[in-house]
Amino acid sequence: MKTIPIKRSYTRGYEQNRVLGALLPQAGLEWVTELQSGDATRASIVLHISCNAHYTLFIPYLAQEILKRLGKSFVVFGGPESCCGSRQFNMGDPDLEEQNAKLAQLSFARVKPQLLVSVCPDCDEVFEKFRLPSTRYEIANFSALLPRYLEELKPLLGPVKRRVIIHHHTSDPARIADGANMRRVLEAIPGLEIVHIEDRFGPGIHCQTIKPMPAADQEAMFAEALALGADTLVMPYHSCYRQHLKMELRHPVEVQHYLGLIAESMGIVFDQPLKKLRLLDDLDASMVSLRPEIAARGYDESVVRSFAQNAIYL
Amino acid sequence: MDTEAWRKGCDIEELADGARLVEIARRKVVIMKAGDRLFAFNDLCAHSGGPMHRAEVEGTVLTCPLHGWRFDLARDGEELHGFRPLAVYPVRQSGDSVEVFL
Repeated sequence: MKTIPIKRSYTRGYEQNRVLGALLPQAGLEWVTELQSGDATRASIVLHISCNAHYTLFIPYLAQEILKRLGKSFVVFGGPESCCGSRQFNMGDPDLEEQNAKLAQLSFARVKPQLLVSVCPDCDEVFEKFRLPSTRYEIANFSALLPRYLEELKPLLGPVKRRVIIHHHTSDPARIADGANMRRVLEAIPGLEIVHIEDRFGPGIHCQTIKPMPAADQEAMFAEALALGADTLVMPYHSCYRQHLKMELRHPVEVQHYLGLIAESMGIVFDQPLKKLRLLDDLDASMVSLRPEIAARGYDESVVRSFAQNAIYL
Repeated sequence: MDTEAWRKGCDIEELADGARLVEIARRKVVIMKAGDRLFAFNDLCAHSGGPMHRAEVEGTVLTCPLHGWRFDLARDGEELHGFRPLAVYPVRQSGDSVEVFL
């Protein structure tokens, strides 16, 4: 396929998701963009990949691998094809937001799940907002799933020698619950030392584009981590991970998604191509490393460059 | 089902300021002029039925506002990422009218 230059619009975002998702892949992630009805496709859990998680596909990959090791029946589904509608909402189009939210829920229902889990707080919020009465499955963030299976998970967790600070959001009860669930699972990792802090939470329901953490607060968060001897700042969401990972350039504190720590504890290997590119701290150098794959896919390099600028070097 | 035939969609002057959503043979059809070329296509996106009359248009490429599938009318509605194509219909100008074969 060829990328065609497109104007700034909400559909541009989907193109950015698809193109960067293809250029920043995670080996082993097995996902579909459409679900079919029928007994053969039934799954008790739908793991929904949100649009912007395409930049950090290791996150849904780790969720997939954790579910596999727990022996759960699930299907990984999504991307822009099952967008929750938050993008339309953010562009001021609530009608299309609602339409998308309902279409996605109907798609999930095809495999008759008992549970829909997402890694994105925007998706959680929009699906709850436009909850279809006919859908019988529960909707939850992936972080809510893990405490339920904690006793099954514990034997799979090996030691991780890190001293970590947990970044979280407190904008609403759901985000507070996500933070508490994340902490509960991390507390089960042997050897992991969690440093308690009072107020290093982000604004809004997550960091990055809509409500980024102010630079001064970000600096203070990393300075505090250093002062407290933490070697890792743990992020609840892909968007927080994206905003804060560049801080590794100036602070000896690793930025990691909480599923990354659980994966480390379980011995699951994963890639972080977006982090590698961001830590080059040079968009030109990033484009050089992406160039062979851009050429192989027939993408327009100037379009990819603008996507990389938006999503990686924001 | 109706026999296929050339059917009037709209007057050519109605396309001066963009596309027109019309109903032909019980189907919602969008008629659009891009440059000197006329196109007619199904209003329902091939993915999940999104409203193609609200698509973002760049030349002959339409982007569905729901999930961003992108269709090139100049290539028979081909989806640029390899997904299903958009249904496009033969269209012609006949006098002051635009006709669609449906």
